[in-house]
Amino acid sequence: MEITQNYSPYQGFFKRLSIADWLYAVVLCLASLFALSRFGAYMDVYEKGILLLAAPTFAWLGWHWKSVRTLMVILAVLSLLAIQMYGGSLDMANKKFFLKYLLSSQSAILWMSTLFFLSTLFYWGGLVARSDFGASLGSVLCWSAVVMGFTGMLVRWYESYLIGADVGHIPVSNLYEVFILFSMITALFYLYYEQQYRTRQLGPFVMLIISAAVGFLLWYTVSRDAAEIQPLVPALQSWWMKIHVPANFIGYGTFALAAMVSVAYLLKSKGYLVDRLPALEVLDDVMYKAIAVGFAFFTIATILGALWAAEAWGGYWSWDPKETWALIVWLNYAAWLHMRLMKGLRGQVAAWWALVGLLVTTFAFLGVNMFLSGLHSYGTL
Amino acid sequence: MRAAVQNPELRELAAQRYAKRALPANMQNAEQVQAQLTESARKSLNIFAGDEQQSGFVAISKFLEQIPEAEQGKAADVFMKILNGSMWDLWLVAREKEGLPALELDEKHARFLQLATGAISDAFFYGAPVFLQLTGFEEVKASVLQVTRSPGKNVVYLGCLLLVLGVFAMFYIRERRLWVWIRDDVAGTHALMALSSQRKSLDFEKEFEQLKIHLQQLSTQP
Repeated sequence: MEITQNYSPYQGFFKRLSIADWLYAVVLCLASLFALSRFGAYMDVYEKGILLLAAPTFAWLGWHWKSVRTLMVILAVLSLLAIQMYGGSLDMANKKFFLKYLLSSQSAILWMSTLFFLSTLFYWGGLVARSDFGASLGSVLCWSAVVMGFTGMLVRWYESYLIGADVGHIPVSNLYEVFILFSMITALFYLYYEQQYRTRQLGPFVMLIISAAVGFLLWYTVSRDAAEIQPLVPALQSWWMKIHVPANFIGYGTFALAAMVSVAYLLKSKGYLVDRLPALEVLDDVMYKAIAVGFAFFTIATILGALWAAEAWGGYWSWDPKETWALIVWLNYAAWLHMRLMKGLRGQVAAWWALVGLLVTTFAFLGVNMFLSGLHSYGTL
Repeated sequence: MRAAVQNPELRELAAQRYAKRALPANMQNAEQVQAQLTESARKSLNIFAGDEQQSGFVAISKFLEQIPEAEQGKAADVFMKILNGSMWDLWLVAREKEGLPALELDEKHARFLQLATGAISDAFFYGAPVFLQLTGFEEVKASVLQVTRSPGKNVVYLGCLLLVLGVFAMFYIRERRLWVWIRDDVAGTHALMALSSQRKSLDFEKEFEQLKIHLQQLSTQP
C-alpha cells in the first residue's frame, strides 16, 4: 500500500529525541550549573531558582522545536563573544571592529532592522514571483534578524551594567526596547508556524507588521534618541518586570500575527491570491493557535501585573487606563475564543474580528501611551 | 466700568453728558447739534457695548465698513473721538453711582481710560466677565504612607494559579474518544472506526487520518 509509506508509528516523546537533543540538554544544564557555581554567591534564592529552572525550560523548548537548539547555541556564542570583547569597558564599542559594526547592541539592532526589511522584501518577491527560493531566502533572513535582535538585546543587557552596576536592567523597560521584543516575538512565532505547517506564503503578511514595527522603531530612535540606555525609574526596579513585560509581548506579538493571518484569510476568501496562499483551514488554524497562545500568556501577564500592582501600588487593580485597556483586549479575545470553541465561529467573521482585535491591541499598546496618562506612563511617546 | 458699559441707562446718561460737555456754550442752534451729538455718542457706546455676536473695536470696525470707502478714514476719526469722549463720561457716571469723587482729566487718567477701553474690547474674546490670575502659591510638601494588608493573599495566589492552569488546560488538553467496532463478516473482519472530540480542529482531522492509516496497516499485517 502506498498510503502506509508516509506513516511512522507513534513513539513516546523521549524516544523521539536524538543524541543532539540530549547533548543540547546536557550543555544547558552544565552551563546553568557553571553559572551557579561561579556567580551563585551574588544571587538570591529566586535568582538561583530561575537559573536552575531555565535549563529544563529551554531544553524542553529546544526538544519541542528543534530550531531553538541552533538559535540558543548561536546566541550563546555571539553574546559571550561580545562580552569577551567588551572586557568590562564600554569604550571598546568604538574601538573593536566587530563590536562597532556588528555586535554592540545598537549595531546589532540596526542589523536586525535591515534584515527584517530585506526579509519582507524577499518574502513578497517570493509570493509575487511564485518563487520558493525567494521565500526561503526571506525565511533565512528572518532567522538572521532574530539572531541579531536577540544578540543585541543580550548585549544591551550587559552594556547597561557596564554603565553602572545600579543602572543595569533587563532591556524591556521602555518603548524602544519593547518594540524590539515585539518584532522578535512575532517573528519567532511566525517562524514556528512556518515550520509547523510547512508553508512560507504567510511570511509576506506577517513581515508587514514586523516591518511596520521596525520602521516605527527606527523613527523613534532617530527622532527621540530612544536608543540611549536610561536608568530605571524606581517603580520599575522589580523582579516582576522581567516576566510581566515579556509575557505581555507574547500576547501582543501573537495577536498581531493572528491579525495578519486573518488578512491573508480575507484576501483568499474574497478571491485574491487564491492559488498562492495556503488552504483556508490552515489559515484558520494558525489564527486560532496564535490567539490561543497569546490569550494564555496575556492572562499570565495580566495576573502578574495585578500581583505586582498589589505589591507596588497597594491594590490589585486600580482602573488605570493601561489596565482597563488590557482588560478590554483580554475580554475581546476571550469572546473570540469562546465563540470559536463553543459556537464553532469560523470563516470571515472570525477573520474580521481578529483583524479588529489588532486595532484594540494596538490602542492598548500604543494609543494608551499617546493619548491617556496613568500609572503606566513609562513608555510615553 | 465694564458693568457700566453693559448698562443701557448709564450709557444714555453718559451720552447726554458728553454732548453737553463737548459743545461750546455759546453756539448757534445748540439744541439741535446737542441732540445729534447725543445720538452719535449713544450709538457709538451701544456699538461698543455690542451684542451676542460681537462687541468692542471689532464691532466698531464692522460698523465703519458700511460707510463708503472714501469717507471711512474721516468717519473713523470722528467716531473714535466721540467714543473716547463718551467713555470718559461713562467712567465718571459709573464713579458717581458708586459714590466716588469725580476725576480731573489729566494724562494719567486718560491713559487709564485708553487701556481700560482696550481691555473691555478684548474681554469679549476671553468670554468670561472675570479674568483669574495666579499671583503666587505656597508649596506644601508632604509624604503619604499607604499601608495595605491583604490576609487573603495566598487564596488570591492560588486562584490565579488555577486560572492559568485552567486556561492552558482548555487549549492544550483535548479530550478525544475513539471507537472501533469489529464484527465478523462472511468475507472477513469488518472494522468501523469513529473518533469524537468536543472541539473541531485541524489537528483532530489529521489525527483521524493517521489513526485510519494505522488501523489499515494493522489489519493488513498477518
